[in-house]
Amino acid sequence: MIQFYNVSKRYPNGVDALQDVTFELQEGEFAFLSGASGAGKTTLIRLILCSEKVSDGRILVAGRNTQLLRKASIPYLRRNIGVVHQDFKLLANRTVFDNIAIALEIIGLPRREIRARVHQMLELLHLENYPNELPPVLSGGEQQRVAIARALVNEPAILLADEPTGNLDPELSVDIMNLLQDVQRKGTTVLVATHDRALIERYSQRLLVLDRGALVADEKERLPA
Amino acid sequence: MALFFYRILYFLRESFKNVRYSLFLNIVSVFTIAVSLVLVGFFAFLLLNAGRFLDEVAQDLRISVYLNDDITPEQIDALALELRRKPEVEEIEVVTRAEDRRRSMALLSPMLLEGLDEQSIPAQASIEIGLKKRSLRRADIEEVDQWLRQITEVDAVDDALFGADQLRVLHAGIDLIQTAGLIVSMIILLAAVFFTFSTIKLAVYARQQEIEILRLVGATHRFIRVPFYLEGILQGLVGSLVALAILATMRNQVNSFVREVHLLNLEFELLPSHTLLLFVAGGVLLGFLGSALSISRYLRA
Ligand SMILES: Nc1ncnc2c1ncn2[C@@H]1O[C@H](COP(=O)(O)OP(=O)(O)O)[C@@H](O)[C@H]1O
Ligand SMILES: [Mg+2]
Repeated sequence: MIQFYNVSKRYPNGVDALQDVTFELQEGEFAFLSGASGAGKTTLIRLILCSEKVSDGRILVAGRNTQLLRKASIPYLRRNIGVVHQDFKLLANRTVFDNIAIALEIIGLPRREIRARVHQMLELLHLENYPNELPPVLSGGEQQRVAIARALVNEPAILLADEPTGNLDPELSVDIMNLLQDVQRKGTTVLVATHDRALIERYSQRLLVLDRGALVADEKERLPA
Repeated sequence: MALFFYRILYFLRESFKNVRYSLFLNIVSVFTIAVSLVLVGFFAFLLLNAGRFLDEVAQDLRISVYLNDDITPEQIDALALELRRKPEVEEIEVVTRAEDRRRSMALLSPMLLEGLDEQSIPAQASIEIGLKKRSLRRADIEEVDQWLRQITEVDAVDDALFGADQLRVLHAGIDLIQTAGLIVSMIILLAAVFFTFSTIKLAVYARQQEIEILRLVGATHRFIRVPFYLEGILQGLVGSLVALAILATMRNQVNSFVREVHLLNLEFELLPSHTLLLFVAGGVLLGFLGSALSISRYLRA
C-alpha cells in the first residue's frame, strides 16, 4: 500500500530530514514509526501526503508513483488517506461537528448522511458533548480526538497518525490505540508515528525506527513487554 | 446531478458560514468596498451634476431689458422682434408699465393701496428674455453679453441686467470641477481597486491556514475557491448597496443645502438609473476579482 524506495528528503534550508529510506507496508498492515524528536517521522508522513516533494528516490501509494501525480490528482489521493496531524490542523473557527464533516463535504455526500456519520464518530471518540464547540476552547486531548474523528470519518484506505496519543492521558491512549487497531482489522493500512517508547512496547505490531533521517530498524515480529 | 446539487448547497452554506465565522474580516472588506465606491460615486455624482447644475441655472436665468419711460409701442415691437431672432433666446415677454404696476400692486397689501393714486406707484416697462436651456456654453455667454451691450446703446433702453461675470465664474468653476474631477476620479478609481484588493488579500491571508487544512484533507482547488468567490460577490453586493445608501444620504444633504442656503430650487440626481445597476455590478466585480486574485496565490503551489 505504501512503498518507499531509497527515499531522501532535503529541505531547502539544507536539512537532510530523510536519507535513503526503503520499506514496504502491505495493505491492511499496522506499523509503528518511532524515533526521537527530529528523526524525520513527520517528514515521512508529509511525503506520503504529497505535502512535500521527494528529493531522491520513489514513493508509491496504492501503487501510484507520487512524483508522477498531476497536481489536480493530489486531492483525490489525499481523500484516501486519513491523517491525524501532530498539530491537529483543525479549523479554528468551525465547530467540532463541521471540522469532522469537512472530510465528507469535500466528497459531496448528502447532508443527512454526513450528519449520521459525524454523529457516529462523535460517539466513538467520546465527543458527543461538544459538537458545537470551537476547537480552541477544547483541551489538547479533545482536539486530538476531533482530529482522529476527521481522519476516520470517510473510512480511508490508509490512516497516518502523527503522535496520536501525544496529548492523551494513559487511559485514553489505550482507548485510541484500540480504536486504531479496530480500524486496521477492518482493512485499513495504519501507520502510527510516535516517540513514545513505552506505548510501542505494549504492542506487538511491526516497528520502523528512524534515527536522524535514516531507517535503522524494521522489526516485523515483536513480543509485547 | 445529485452531487452537483449538494455541492451548490454546500457552497452557499459555506459562504454564509464563512461570513459569520470571519465576520470582522468580512465587515472590513465590505466597508472597504463601500468607501471606495462612495468615493468613486461621489465624483461621478459631481461630474454628472456639474453640467446639470448649469442647465438648471440657465433655465431660471431671465434677462430683463429695462426700457425708458418714453418708449413708443412701435419701438418696443421692433426691439422684441430683434431679440426674438437671437439664436440663444427661447422666449421673450414684454412687460408694459401697466403690467409692471399691476405686479407691484399685487405685492402690496390692499390696506396700503387704499386711497393711493395708481399712477404714483413707480413702474418701468421691460422685456424679459428667457434663454434656451442648453445655450449657456461659454461662447454663448460672450455672445449674449455682446448683443445685450449693443441693445443698451439704443436710446429706448435704460439698462439690461445679465450677470455675465457671475456666469463666467460659474463656468470656470464647473470646468475646473469637471477636469479635476475626471482626473481625481480616475486616481480614486485606481486607489479604490488597489485598496479593496489589498484588504481582501489580507483577509484571505488571514485564512491561509484554513486553506492549507482544506487542501490537506483533500479538497479540490475549486472546492476551496468557490466559497471565496461567493463571499467576494456577497461583499461586493453589500458594499455597493451600503455605498448607494451613503450616496443617497449625501445627495439629500446637498439638495437641502442648495435649497436652504443658496435658495436655488435644484434637484440633484444621485446617479442615472441605468448606472445604478452598473454601480452595483462594479461592486460585485470588485469583490469577486479581489477574492479570485487573492485566493489564486495560495492555490498555485
Ligand atoms: N519545513 C521544514 N523546513 C526545514 N526543515 C524542516 C522542516 N520540517 C522539518 N524540518 C527538519 O527536518 C528534521 C526532521 O523533522 P520532522 O520530520 O518534523 O521530525 P519528527 O517528526 O520525527 O520530530 C528536523 O531536523 C527538522 O528540524
Ligand atoms: Mg513530528
